[in-house]
Amino acid sequence: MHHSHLYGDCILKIGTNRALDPSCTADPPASFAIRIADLTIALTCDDPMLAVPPDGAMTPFLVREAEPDLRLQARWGKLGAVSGGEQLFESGGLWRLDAQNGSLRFSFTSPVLGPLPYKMASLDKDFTSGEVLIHQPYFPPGRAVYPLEYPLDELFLIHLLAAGRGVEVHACGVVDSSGQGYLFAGQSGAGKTTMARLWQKTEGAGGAGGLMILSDDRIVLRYQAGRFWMYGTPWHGEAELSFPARAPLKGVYLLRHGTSNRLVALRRSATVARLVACSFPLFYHTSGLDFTLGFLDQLVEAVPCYELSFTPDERVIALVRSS
Amino acid sequence: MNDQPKKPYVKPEITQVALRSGEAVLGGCKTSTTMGPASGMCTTLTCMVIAS
Repeated sequence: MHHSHLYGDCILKIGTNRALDPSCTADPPASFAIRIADLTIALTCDDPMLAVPPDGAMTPFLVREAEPDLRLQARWGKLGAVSGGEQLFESGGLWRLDAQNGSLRFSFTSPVLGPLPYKMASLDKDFTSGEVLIHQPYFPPGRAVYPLEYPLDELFLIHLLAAGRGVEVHACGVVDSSGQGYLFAGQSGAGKTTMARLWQKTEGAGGAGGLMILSDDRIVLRYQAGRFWMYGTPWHGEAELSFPARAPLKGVYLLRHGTSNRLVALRRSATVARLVACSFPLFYHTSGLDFTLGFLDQLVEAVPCYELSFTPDERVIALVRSS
Repeated sequence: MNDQPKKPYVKPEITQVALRSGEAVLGGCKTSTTMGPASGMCTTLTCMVIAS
């Protein structure tokens, strides 16, 4: 496939890959850092074409901090077929994970680009540092590439979290005007974005001290200073709502569409199971999986949890507030 | 001795919870132009599968 056809329009207009603005070339950024849920990932590169900060919803999550939790170096390379090592996981989609020489290696392959990996990321076993290699022959000269393009950014975050730090869930996070956090969890189609819009319609959003939607699709949960917190992430849903803030968790609501608005208290085990199904478990990581289950079990014990059947009308907000 | 009455025995139940593998493993493309499934089409160059 001819690369100029592939990239000529698309890379300029679509996704996080984009052409480097000529005005940036005089003083190109050699590094950037993103901070999500109080975890910082920093990336540096000698070639400014690979150190272009992300745009879009990730922009508010850019920080200038010097001490990251995960330090990455990006560089161009010529990647070969994935070989050697022990395969730990095959996602069935873009990526697979192998263990090799004590490190973890994520390989990304897409039939759009060709049979070879377009990107590999090698991380030390402690997940504190690593390297991201971009397969140069797949990318035309002079084009900037964002090395942490989804899903690598989110993969890094869920691995950092699984090391005893927290859990990311498929959920909408709403912070009301009093600063209380409501978590509405559910898989795709459960009504997370609908719920976010109902809150916006009822309480408004964006005003000083008003309603905040931390994300309408992905929320990180952490336990800090004796309480559970929910954090916004840049990975949003259809309403494109995301915000880099946190709030103490007041209640968890497992969403389902219904014919009326109704709250049902579930058994603890059932609630944990439902939350696990809304999380991003590291199936190949024994201690990470163990931590995730234990974390969610403790959360369900500490925070009121309900199944919320709802219809798309604003009365459900009053019901949630009264719970 | 513990004087508290015994809790009634409750037979364990197995409840199946559906796990959507495509969503759970971040195997596909979430991003469109704005890092979210805002578009019905998978528009990121490297992605062929839409996930959420």
